[in-house]
Amino acid sequence: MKKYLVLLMVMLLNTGSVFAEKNAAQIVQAELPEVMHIEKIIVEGTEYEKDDILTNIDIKSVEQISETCYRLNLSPFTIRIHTNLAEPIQVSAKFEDCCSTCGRYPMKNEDLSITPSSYTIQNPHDKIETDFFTPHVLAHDDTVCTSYNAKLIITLGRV
Amino acid sequence: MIKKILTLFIIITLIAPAAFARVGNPSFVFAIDDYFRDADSSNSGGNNGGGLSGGAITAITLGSIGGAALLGLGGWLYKKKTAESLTAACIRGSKNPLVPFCMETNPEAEFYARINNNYPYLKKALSLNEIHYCPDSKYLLIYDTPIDKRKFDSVKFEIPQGTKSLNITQVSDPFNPKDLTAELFLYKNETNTTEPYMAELENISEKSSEKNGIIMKTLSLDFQNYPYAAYVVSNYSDKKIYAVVIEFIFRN
Repeated sequence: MKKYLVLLMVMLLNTGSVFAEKNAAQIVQAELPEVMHIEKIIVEGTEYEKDDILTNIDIKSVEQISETCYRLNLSPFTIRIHTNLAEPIQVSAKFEDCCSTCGRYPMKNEDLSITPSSYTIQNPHDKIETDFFTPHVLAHDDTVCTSYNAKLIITLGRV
Repeated sequence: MIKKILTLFIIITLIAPAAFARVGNPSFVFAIDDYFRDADSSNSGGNNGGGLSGGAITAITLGSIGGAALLGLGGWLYKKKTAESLTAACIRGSKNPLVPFCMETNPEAEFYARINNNYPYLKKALSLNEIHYCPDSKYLLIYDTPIDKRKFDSVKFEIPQGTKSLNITQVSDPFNPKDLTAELFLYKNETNTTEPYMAELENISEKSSEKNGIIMKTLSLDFQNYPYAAYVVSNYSDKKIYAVVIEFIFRN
């Protein structure tokens, strides 16, 4: 009887460890979901959601490029990223569009830029914030003096 | 088939939020002119020049005023420069600001006949207000003037001593809001380049009516400190004709 009991206990212990090994193997093999989100866009300390209207961007300085061309440097912004990736991430920003609020005077794409156009974060961690992106607009003789609606595109991706 | 579609839908719904979260579409509004006006109005200083001899009877020559091309940032800077006499071209009265004159008291005079026969816009502008004579008021008249798309005209003039208020009446072809603007730059000194823009007539006045092309504005200021001004008409849309009557009122 004792023999049976010991055998049963051995079996139970063995099966338990087998299950535990299987479970352990499952846990090791399971992949965490990849998290890589734009958490906030930050302009001079003010935080915005990724699709918000950035209300405190304005012209910070003007450089005269030529007799008829001026570069308008707008408020710089940074991007905070929510991620669990350990691999390099690229954060890109570009002007999608810029047009007068009345809709009549679109700016040319070649007159719109953001420097730098992207940052590569080699060792990302959660809540990491990029360095500054600065939007620039080239204004010419025929650039109409009025209010402009500008749209940006910010993208995250693996390198 | 249904299973495949369902699977595809589930995959899309699982992947899509993550994909969207990786793309941001922020937007913002910025104003070019505000920046330059703010920067400009922060300038100060300059001497107050004595001014030209007042009271001379002159009028703008009948005919068209030369318009300057360019609008926008470059145009604004250019307008400002022309108004400040930095560039003499394309502005009437740049070197010697025009001096307001006393209106002809005889309604049968050739002066009025020429206006009535040849300049319907100016005729209408004059008819919108009662005409006052010296010593109560003096006038500057800008005769019917064509202005092409994306051009501006400037008239620099002297504000006579003793002016209590300005009454500006502009008649043009009908226009949509913002298609045609009228700005008034006031200066402390004829050649002072650091005393800039002060007032703008944004087609706003209780009497203004853009649809029928009439802008009316009465401006009461302490003109003692601003003996010079430039009136700038800018056309952002199709070619138009306009005429302006500027009355300098000496009585309260």
